[in-house]
Amino acid sequence: MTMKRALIAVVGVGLLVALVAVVIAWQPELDKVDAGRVTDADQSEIARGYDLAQLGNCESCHTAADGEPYAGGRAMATPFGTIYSVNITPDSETGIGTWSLEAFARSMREGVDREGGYLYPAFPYTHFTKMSDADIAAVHAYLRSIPAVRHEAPENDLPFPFNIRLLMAGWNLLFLDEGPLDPVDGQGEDWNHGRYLVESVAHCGACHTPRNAVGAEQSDAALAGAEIDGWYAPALAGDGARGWSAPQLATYLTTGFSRAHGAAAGPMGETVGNLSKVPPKDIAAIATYVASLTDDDAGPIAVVDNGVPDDLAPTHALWVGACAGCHEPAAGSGPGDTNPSYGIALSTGYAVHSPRPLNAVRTIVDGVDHYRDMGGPYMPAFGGSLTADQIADVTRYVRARFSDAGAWSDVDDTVQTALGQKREGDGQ
Amino acid sequence: MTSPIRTLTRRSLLKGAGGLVVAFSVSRGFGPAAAQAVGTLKSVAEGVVDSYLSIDADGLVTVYSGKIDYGTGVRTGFAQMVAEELSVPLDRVSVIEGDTALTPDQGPTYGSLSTEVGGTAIRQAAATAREAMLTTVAERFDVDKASLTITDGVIGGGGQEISYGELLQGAQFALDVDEDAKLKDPATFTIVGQPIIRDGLPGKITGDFHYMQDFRRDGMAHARVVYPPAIKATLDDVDEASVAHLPDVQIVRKGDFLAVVAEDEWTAVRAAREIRASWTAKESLPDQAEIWEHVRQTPIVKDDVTSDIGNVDSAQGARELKATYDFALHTHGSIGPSCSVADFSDGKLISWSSSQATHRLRRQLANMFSMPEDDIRCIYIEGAGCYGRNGHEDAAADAALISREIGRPVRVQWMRHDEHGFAPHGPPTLIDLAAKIDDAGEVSAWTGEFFIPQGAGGRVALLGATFADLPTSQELNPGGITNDSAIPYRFPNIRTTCHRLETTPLRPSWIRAPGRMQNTFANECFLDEIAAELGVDPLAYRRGLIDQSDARGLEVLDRLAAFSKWDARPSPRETQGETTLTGRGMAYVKYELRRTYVGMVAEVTVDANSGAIRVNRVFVTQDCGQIINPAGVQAQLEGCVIQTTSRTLMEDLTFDRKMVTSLDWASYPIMRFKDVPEVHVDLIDRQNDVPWGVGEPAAVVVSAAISNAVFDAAGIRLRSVPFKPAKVRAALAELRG
Amino acid sequence: MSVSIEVNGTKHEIDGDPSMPLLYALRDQIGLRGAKFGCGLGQCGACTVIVDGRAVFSCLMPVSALEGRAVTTTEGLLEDGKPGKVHQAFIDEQAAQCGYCIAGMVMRAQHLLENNSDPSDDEILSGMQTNLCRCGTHAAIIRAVKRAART
Ligand code: FES
Ligand code: FES
Repeated sequence: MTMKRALIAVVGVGLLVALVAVVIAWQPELDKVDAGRVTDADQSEIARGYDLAQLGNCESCHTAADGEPYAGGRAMATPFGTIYSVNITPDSETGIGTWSLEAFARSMREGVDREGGYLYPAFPYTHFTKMSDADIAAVHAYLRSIPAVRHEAPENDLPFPFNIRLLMAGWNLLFLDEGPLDPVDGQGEDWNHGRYLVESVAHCGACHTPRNAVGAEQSDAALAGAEIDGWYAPALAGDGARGWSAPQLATYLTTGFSRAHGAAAGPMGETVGNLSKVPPKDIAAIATYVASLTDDDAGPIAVVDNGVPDDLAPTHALWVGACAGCHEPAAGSGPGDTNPSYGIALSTGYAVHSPRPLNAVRTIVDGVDHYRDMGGPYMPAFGGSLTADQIADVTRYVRARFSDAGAWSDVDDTVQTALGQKREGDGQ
Repeated sequence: MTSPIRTLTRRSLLKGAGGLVVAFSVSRGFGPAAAQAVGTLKSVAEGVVDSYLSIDADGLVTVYSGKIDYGTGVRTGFAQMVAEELSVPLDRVSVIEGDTALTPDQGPTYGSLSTEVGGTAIRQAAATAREAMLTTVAERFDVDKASLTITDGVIGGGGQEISYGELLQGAQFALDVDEDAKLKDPATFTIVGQPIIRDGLPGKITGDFHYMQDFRRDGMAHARVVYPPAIKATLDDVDEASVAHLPDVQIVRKGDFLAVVAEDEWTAVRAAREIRASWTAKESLPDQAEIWEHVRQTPIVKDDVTSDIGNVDSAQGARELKATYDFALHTHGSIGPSCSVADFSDGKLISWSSSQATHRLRRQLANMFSMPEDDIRCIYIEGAGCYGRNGHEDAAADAALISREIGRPVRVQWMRHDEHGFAPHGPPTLIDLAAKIDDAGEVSAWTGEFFIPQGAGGRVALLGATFADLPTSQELNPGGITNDSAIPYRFPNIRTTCHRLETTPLRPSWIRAPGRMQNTFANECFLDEIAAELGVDPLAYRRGLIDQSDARGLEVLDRLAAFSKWDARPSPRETQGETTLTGRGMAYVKYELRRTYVGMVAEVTVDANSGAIRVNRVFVTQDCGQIINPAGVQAQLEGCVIQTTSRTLMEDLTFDRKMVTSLDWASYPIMRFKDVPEVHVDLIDRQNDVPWGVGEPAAVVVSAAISNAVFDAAGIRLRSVPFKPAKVRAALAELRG
Repeated sequence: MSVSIEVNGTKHEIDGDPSMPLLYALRDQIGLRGAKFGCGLGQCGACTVIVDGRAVFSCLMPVSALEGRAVTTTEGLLEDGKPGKVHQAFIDEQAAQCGYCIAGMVMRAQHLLENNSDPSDDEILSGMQTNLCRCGTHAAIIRAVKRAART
């Protein structure tokens, strides 16, 4: 609560600044273009637009649970209230069917919609602004080619003063650094292409960079790890970032699994589902760039097994009956060495090393179910079968047994939160 | 613990869509399973009535079938055929399947032959028995045989009547099957042709049914095998202390064979998981990334020429089309991993399993243990569907070996990774096709070359015997996998050759419609390629090419066109740059060029961006001759389509240099509810004809129908099963240039 | 150790290894055959039962986690020894081939209908999505679930 009050105070100041800026903040409405879906665009441009849309996770954010693709309505909880993604299908009434390329580009670069209204940075235009004109045009062409869906996304649920869109003009003055991005001299093409994708369309920082009090990514802590949707997106750069080799990372980004790092779960699982459809050369570039941010000789994490923790001996039965079948198969027997579902030493995963139990708890509660049709790592959800206390015990057990870090302090609360956020009927 | 013999009561009468539907029980549950005796307990010789049939003093009819039912409904079909032929109520018929002591060796249950071959033999035995009984009664009653009537197993005439039971008083028939014994007139049928609820079905739903996996034997121990981390490996060392914390665990080690035995099942599961063993694993497999080069370079042991008409080499053609097709390795993917119970005592072995071929298994076990076949009894108990030779026989060998080692009955239940990793698999198949087209736009020559391993239809070596270094006989039976490499279309010059490969990666086996599926996929796609090249409607083109005196084939194609509302035009469809592309494609087969006819239309949607294919609707028209049980046929057709759609779109067994790496459902995904197509079935029933098989023929046209529909929708040719999105995306990118 | 579990309305004391999954307790100690071993990995649903109103994989449910909880298996859906509503719908549609997956399907369908008595077609597909069938009985299973929802 105090946090929220502080935010309101900060934003109150921002409001004043913004009011002063209103005059300069005014943005014109741009003309409507011929309505609806356009299917006769250049097929190669549409295809590239599709790739970029995958890299940008567009569909994931702009599709409600069980909704039509790109028709909007997915709820995004932010510290300031709930924001609903909008319909970006080429429907003329409820989507972006009347948006010219100019209007679309303005939204991507400046965070302003066709009518001249300010968008909230839950839509990561602070990244998209860095895209090239050609790539923005390709995404536009692609989005104009998909089926139009009439669907009005729900109104955002933001309390005053956050519901004043014009505030964002002030916010943009402070935090929007309009693109596109220039390459860095002296770095290879691959590296630069990777950096471009990471910084722009793939907007990795939107999850992996911590945000300040008014929701802007902290530029001095880029990709330093952050909490997102009840998960923790690990650091990709700086202290705490684990070493990745580029090939390892490329595999992880497209299959959701690396034997040295574990499985991509939660929001990253969804991201991998999209990245798996992207041309390998884009993935290789991203991997090259991100791997360059970490310490090459970090090496794989040592396998830790401290044995059954004394104070958690009763939990061992839960572990053996529910977890060990996959996580502790016979050493040297078939499945352990070859299959992502078996025998992943838990100590190699980020979840058990993380300073907070978020990912461990969320993985136990929700499972890993992103790869069922493409094949890949899988874990059933235990949120519907084990009790909160049992989940907490198993969480403490894996921490004590498979990591050398100290016990987590906030396990019970984290479990309660995770169970609260769990979708009904999940997994099991 | 063994179960009591299930009572043969009529449980319920239900009205179903297709008329009177009767739920009944024809299996005797674990009746034969409780038997102690080994050897041959009654006549099992082929061609002898008593081998197939007995009628007890109460008039209860028992059918002895060497063919078995693994969910296909053939047991019910046999009971229907016998009940019909003998004019007894269905609930008075029970069926014993696949018991080497009791049932004739009718060959393995494969090739969609159970009803056509197995059922027909049993029906003929029943007709022989009936005619013999009628003859006897005519003499006894001193009436004309033709004047006798049979009602519910009671023969009446001249004012007298006698039931089968009273007449026979438990005696055997002691008759050879009369191949000319008169069969009942189909016009009078009341049981055959009815959608009888398949035997065991209610119990499968309520939990009452006894599967192989449920079978228990007094004094039985639970075992798990511990297979190595490689297909080929030697066992160096076992750390016995690693399972010392578990109660009463026994370790069985013989050569490179390792197993753990416990008093209860969970302890055995834990012991197999927790035991520490060290192995020397060999890298015996080719690089999967180069699998097709590997197949092409595998030495050929012989060529089977499956058709040779005219001279393809000298045929003239202005244009030549060529295409190469491949079909991935697949696994059976039984939902219930293989399971067997064995009791090896006093030098005699009783083996319970879900083997499709218990007589053949008995020969293999006799060979493995160097003992006379007569000292072994193999008994079939229905398990989970297996769709071919999966791990049942291997589990049976494992159980027998362990039982021999520990001297008590033992149950072996394979784990999921044993089934996915160590059951034999469908081999990779590579096919080259070529056609010459002359100036008149006619195909002058068709050439097919099929790279198929030898022996994939034969006896598969037993895994446990291999690891334990015991003898194991393999039978390099050519099997039926060369079938349907020859085509049902009339071109002036045709040659189809199956190059039989010396080896293939992993132990090969047959999976639903082996060979025929791969061969038909390639042939039916390539025919579509020719139709597209010629700019003609693919259905009409086929209709013009099949033998015009084959009325049944023509009727299937005509009915398919009407039933599916076939949009007659050449493929591909005109598109306007849509990203969601729809199309329809078809395929046709006359199974093995001599039996069941199937025509299929698939309607698909292709997402031109993601490459995802969705099969929306499938239309099947089938002529399988006489339909014994239409509900059973419907289930088989839906199963053929859904299972093969899964195989076609997503299934791809993976391996590294040492072993299979797709060891579970997460790494070998199969189709689930959301992606299941609608299946529409049009059955042509010919009650006066031979009943042909239905478990395979409709499966073989699925891959081609889908591929052809994708071509129609998107203009790309998918020649490599499975049609995963990445392959589709690559083909689309190539098309865009 | 001994754990007290209520299965289909009857209390059972389960002895032995507390890590033993419910599946083995049901099959080997209580003598109920409905729940099946398919994978032991929570991937196939052949072992699905309902615990306290939720469909769970009994193969990954250690008995020690079940003290005092209520379990329902397909046998528990019988009414006076006769097929219950979902059972009957499956029988009427002949929704089983080998049937090995079916008891799990029945429990999944039961759970679906307990939470949504009038599911749309899409909701049926989503609700059943967890469970695998290899025989391709899906079409008949879908018909059976629809029939059960109607009755
Ligand atoms: S056996 Fe439990 S999910 Fe497969
Ligand atoms: S009916 Fe056989 S697995 Fe479903």
